[in-house]
Amino acid sequence: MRKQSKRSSITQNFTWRNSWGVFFILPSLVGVAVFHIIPFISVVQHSFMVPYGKEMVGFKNYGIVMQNESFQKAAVNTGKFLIFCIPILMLFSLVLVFFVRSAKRMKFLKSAALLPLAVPVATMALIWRLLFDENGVLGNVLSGMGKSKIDFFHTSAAFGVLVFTYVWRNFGYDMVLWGSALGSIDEQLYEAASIDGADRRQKFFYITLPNLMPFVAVITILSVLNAFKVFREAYLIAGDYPHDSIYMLQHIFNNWFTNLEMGKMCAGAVILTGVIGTGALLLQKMWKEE
Amino acid sequence: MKKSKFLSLIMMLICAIIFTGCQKGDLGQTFGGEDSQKPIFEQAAVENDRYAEKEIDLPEEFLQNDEKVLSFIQNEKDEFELYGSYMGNDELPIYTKYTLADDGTWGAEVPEWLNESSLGIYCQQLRVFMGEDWHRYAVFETQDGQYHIIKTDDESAYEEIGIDAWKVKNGDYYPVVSSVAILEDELIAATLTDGTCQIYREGKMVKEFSGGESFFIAGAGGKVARMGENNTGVVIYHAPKNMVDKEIGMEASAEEYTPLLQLETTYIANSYGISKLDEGNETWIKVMDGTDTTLNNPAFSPRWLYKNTAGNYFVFFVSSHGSKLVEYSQSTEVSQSDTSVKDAGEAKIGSSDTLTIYALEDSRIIRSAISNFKTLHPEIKVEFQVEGIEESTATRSEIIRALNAKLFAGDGADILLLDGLPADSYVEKGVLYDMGGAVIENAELYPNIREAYSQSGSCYMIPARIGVPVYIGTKNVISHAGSLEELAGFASQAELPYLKKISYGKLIEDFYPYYADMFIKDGSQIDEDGLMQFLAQIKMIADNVSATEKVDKEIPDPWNYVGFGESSLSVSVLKGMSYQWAAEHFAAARNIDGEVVTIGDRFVPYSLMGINNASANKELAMEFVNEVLSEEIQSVEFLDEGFPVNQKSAEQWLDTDKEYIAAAMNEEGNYFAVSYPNKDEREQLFGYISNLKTPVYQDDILLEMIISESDDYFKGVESVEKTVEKIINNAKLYMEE
Repeated sequence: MRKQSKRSSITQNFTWRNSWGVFFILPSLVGVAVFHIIPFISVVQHSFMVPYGKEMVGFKNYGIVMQNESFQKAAVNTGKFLIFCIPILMLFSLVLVFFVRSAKRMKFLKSAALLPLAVPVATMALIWRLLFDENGVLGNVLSGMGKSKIDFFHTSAAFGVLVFTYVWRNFGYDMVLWGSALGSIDEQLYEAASIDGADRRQKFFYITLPNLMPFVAVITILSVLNAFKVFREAYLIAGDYPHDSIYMLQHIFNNWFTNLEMGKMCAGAVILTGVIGTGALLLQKMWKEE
Repeated sequence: MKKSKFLSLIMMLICAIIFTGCQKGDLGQTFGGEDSQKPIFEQAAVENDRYAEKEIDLPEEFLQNDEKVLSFIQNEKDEFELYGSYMGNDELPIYTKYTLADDGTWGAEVPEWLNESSLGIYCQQLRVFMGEDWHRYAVFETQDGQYHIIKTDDESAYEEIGIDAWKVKNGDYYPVVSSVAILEDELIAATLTDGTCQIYREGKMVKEFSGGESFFIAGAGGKVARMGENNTGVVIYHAPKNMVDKEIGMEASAEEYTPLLQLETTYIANSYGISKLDEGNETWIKVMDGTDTTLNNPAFSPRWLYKNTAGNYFVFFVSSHGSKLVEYSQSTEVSQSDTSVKDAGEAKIGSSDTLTIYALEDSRIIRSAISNFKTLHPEIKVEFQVEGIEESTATRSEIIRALNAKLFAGDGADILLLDGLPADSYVEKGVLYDMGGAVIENAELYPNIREAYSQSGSCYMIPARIGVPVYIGTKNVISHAGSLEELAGFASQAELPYLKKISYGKLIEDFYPYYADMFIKDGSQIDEDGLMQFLAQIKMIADNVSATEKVDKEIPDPWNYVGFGESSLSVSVLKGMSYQWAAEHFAAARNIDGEVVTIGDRFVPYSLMGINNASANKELAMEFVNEVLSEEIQSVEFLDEGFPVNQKSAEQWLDTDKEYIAAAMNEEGNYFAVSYPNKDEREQLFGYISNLKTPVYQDDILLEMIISESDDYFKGVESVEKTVEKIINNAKLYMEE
């Protein structure tokens, strides 16, 4: 009965006038279908097939991938990177956005914070090489101070370099997101709190933070998506086989592709999509509950 | 309201992320795209490429006498004169002249001025040139090594023109003249083998400037054209101004081009066709596309280029197995060339009249086979897609992924040259077609090479050529070169260092391809003990040669130091018979009474061919593979592309004796003579080839890992156990993948 009334409500609300919206989203929908959904269906199909051919092998590829030590290592590294980086990035950008909001030259600072996003990855990789190579600027500074040089790319320090790269590149982007979220909080709430004698700390914990919570999930998802893009930096800095601390899932996918290991690659992609999808759904659920 | 604005912003950002994900990113843009190998002059305008190629038969007498080609010139009557020589009964050279008439016949004569007894007795390296004054000139070397130039008005008497600079020795030697151009007003331009170009007026040098490849020079209208210093362009000297213009770039290999200068215009012929450069311009214009002609057949080098008054081009080609004269005449009936070196991004498969061949690097033997194949099948279009990995902005793995995407989609070329590609993975995944019997039963091929690529009656790949890894050294060291262990053990007692100064990395690189099986088990496991032994033995050699972490510059030709007695061993790969390869290696060994021996039964495959299983043209592809393996194609030597896999061709190589003398010289000025390998040496070499059974181990990723982790061990600051542990940890992910 309830369902019926809902359907009739939809039918009643539909008019040719508002159906124009469908046409607006159609190009994007087609793009997403052609470039993402249909290829992904093909990926799922190939995950059950031999690497080069039509023969079905059931869950064999999944079994191989799950037992593959390189995949496990890459998955752990990627997870570690996400767990480490996302909170740092979100907190850092949130703190910064508070400073920037109260700064006089707010617009300039916001633009400056977005600059790292505009730097081409290849250029950045070159600069990083100059800075972090064993015989680079930092190595020479350390050497000048009488300390031994650090090979940032081929030791566990590589993980630190990658975290720094990710945060440096994305903090401006997250600042924009946080800025928009802060802008959506009704100023009247702060005014009312001020009249009630609330201090800045109380305003933050009782007004700002609760109102930001609905946006945390979205910003987290976007930050996670950006975190997967950090592979480009890792790849350009350290190649196909970097130090094992920054050996990410994209590395193994790339290398599998080079060796035409399509079965493994498709199975891995399906597993990864499943994990990310589940995570996103959980976050969404949390958001709804909030 | 504010919340909805925020959500709109979020949606926009999500869309941005999705679509940036769809785009080719920084990496994707470099995938074997348009920046991959491009035919040269691609950006220059094509004036007219509708030319028909016609081969003109060489004089029968010339062929019967098996004459040596000396010169090919154009005379004042717009006729062509071919000069040759052969050895007479009295062991004196006889110089001949053949003139090509309009009807295509040749008139023969024995030019008196060249066969003068006073000239014939002692002249060597004779070449004839036509001056702008329409007089004939000849340049030759006398037995004392001095060069001379003579001039004739009537082809019976001659007079010598004294060039002062040619009479002065530089150290022990006179200047060696490569080529000459005679301009008006008795202005003579000559290129010397040291790369300089000298201009003389009345025998006195008026200008000297440096340049690149010295063999080719062209002059006309008071101008001289020659290759620039880096062989990447042409420089033009203007006699009236006595100055050299700036270099006008062209991406042509010096060894493959020949120039012609006609008053206002410079022409060049190379593997891409014939192009011209008008005076005052800085852009070459291609007048004829050469990709479907002999110009694109690397078996033939264009040596002389002329244009007659009818506007037709004449190119005289030389090759290791004969010469060829070709006329290119304008025709409205000629279609666009069918065989072409294409951008690898255009790989297409399927149509039965098109055969596609894919390679990471160019291969002259393949290009030569294409040229022959085209003659056999004029109806077939052949596309040779070369990535040009050295010039590409994309990495090797990026290029391979782009290729894999095509292969996975059932696309890609009909034939794959597997050098640098994951060949074993392709076999395992079923990407390659089983050539089976067609190769295994090919009795012309070396049985050992066939067997190396046969697995239970199947054959998925076969090399077009092979390189021979060798040790060159003293007999004492060579007698201990049976294994790395033996060699290393002997190194600890040897007085003379094995090798000249070398880095740890280069040392590992030298031995790794032949001894990797000490520690690689089942293709995917590293044996800890084996790797420890390998590194320990390399360290013994490193200590013997005082290897260091880095050297300013690795020695380019280490085998020469064996020849000079400065080291006792060198590891190398013979890639051909020519000067730098077998000739120099055997000469080095000869000089110290040493030996050249193979490293186990290893060989290096070159132009490794496989057929795409998804190809619709498998039969045609198989036919092409057989063409590459045929006696005709295999008989041609391509400098550094290895030795034939065809036994009949190998017999031809074995029987071929070439007379040339060169010298290998070191920084101190010491030298030893280098001649073509003698019969015994050739027999030894081809005896080795018939026993090679195992392709070298090629895994550059693992090699790089070993090199990068083992410096500390070689420096003595880390134990071999610790180093091996690091390498295994590092390589674990790679091997596990």
